[in-house]
Amino acid sequence: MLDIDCKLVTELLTRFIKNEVQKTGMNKVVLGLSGGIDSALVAFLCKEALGADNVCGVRMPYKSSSAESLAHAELVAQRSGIRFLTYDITAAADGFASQQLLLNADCDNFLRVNSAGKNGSLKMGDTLNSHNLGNILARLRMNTLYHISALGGSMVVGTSNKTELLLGYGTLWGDLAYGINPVGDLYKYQVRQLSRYHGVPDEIIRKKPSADLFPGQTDEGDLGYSYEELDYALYRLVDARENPKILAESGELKPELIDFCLKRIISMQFKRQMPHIALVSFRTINQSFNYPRDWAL
Amino acid sequence: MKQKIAICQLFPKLGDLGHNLARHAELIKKHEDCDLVCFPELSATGYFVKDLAYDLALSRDEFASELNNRSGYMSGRPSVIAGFSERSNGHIYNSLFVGSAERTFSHKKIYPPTYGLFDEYRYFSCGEQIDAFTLKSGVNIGVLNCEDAWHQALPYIYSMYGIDLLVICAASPARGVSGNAEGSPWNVKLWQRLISSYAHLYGLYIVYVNRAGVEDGINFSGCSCVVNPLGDITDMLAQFDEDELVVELDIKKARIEKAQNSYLKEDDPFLTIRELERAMRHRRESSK
Repeated sequence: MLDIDCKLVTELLTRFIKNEVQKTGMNKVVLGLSGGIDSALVAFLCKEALGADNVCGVRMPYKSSSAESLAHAELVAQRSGIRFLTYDITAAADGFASQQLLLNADCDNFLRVNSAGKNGSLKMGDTLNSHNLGNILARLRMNTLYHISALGGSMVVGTSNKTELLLGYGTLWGDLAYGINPVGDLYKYQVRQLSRYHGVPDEIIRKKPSADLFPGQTDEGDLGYSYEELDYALYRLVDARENPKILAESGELKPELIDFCLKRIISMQFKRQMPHIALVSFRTINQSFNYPRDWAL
Repeated sequence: MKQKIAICQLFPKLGDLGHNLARHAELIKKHEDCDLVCFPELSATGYFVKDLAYDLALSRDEFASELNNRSGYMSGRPSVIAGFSERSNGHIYNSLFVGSAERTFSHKKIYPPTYGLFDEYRYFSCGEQIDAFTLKSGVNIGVLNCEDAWHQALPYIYSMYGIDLLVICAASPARGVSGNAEGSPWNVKLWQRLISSYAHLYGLYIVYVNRAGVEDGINFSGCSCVVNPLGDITDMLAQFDEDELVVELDIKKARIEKAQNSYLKEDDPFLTIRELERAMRHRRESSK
């Protein structure tokens, strides 16, 4: 059901990359290499579309990143032959955390902290937990990629797959910020299938996907379901447009899995669209002023 | 009677009329020994035009003169079929321009699709008429604009005009990549099935001119093709990429096929009209 024709999909995705990059006047791309399967596949696809010399993978470790992730990112760069950079974001993240936040008024409600006895200031690090630290790191990586993009005139390529996008498992303006995304219409299962086709190293395909914030973290642990379950449920709900109630009654899928997917799809819709603009005129951007993104490109 | 036809599977630049018209002119001049030069749907503007449909709209005569200024087609041999945004009676249409030295004509798309990834009816009005066009050589042709071809009454009506050749211009996005796709998007196969059946049923040649390239992230399939009056695909252009092909069609074969075609001979269009009206009355009454 989820199997794809890898040769055909490669033809579509490499043309997509080549066309959408080159029509802007650029010929190079830059992407973050996490050591995971999604960015590995995108690196191989970009290499095929633009040539290895026009693809730059950037490894952006934080102090808690696992050695395995770093080694796997390097392995992807070596196997694909793309250009390769490393920028450790630990100092940037730690700098962000160590700076004092001056409390000019009582803002405890905004910060979800109790600042009593803090003498009008607070260390930013005191507001961080593993979840929002993950977002900070994702946005520091975005900053790094966009900086490199501007330096050499290369386009930032996204690596979020369809499973993640539908479930909103990504950071707004962080890893969800990019110029183009070649793999956003492929479920994780299909990313794995295509990765095998492109010769992504087996150890990267087989390991458990992880955001790599702390030892032992996995996507499946975070989400509470396996990718196999999620992909299948999302396919039935989104692609096949099956009625969730009938699907639940059929017993083919766990009702709580269906419920989880629907709630995530709906609540994360904002991550998949540009923000609202208040309409007051007869020509409002994206409402009644509608032009293609590739306008005259 | 041989007709030499150039199929130009173009990748237009979205929203750049000047660039696209220059490309049309270049290809028309290149194929000046042909009887007909065919371009895809909205070949002069690009497909996902949105509000550009209005900004780039020209009347049929304005388009003819813009094209003639660049290509001189009005004093040349080939007739030209191209896609443009047409302004007519205060409305905007997704039209096919059909022009020759003698005559200028346009087919306004009858069914601009508005579902899934398509949003045409938001920007384009619906055409309401089907007319055949006679080339200088005396060959009767019909033209349909992409989605039009999926409404089976339209090729049927054209068959009543006795056309020899149906030109279907398209901007068909590639989709459907399941494991059994055998190297082509699923909807390419659907198109091939559809037009092979029409060619066979109505005893005519079909030239299917699809566009190539990528627009707003969407790949177009290419795979333009020629179908003979027996329903066989005889020629096929590149998948996804720009391509060109000149074919020589023996129109006599279509006429022989039509003369021998018992489906056409025995077909009773008046029965169709009568029974359609009865069926529509029945549908209306049963939905009351």
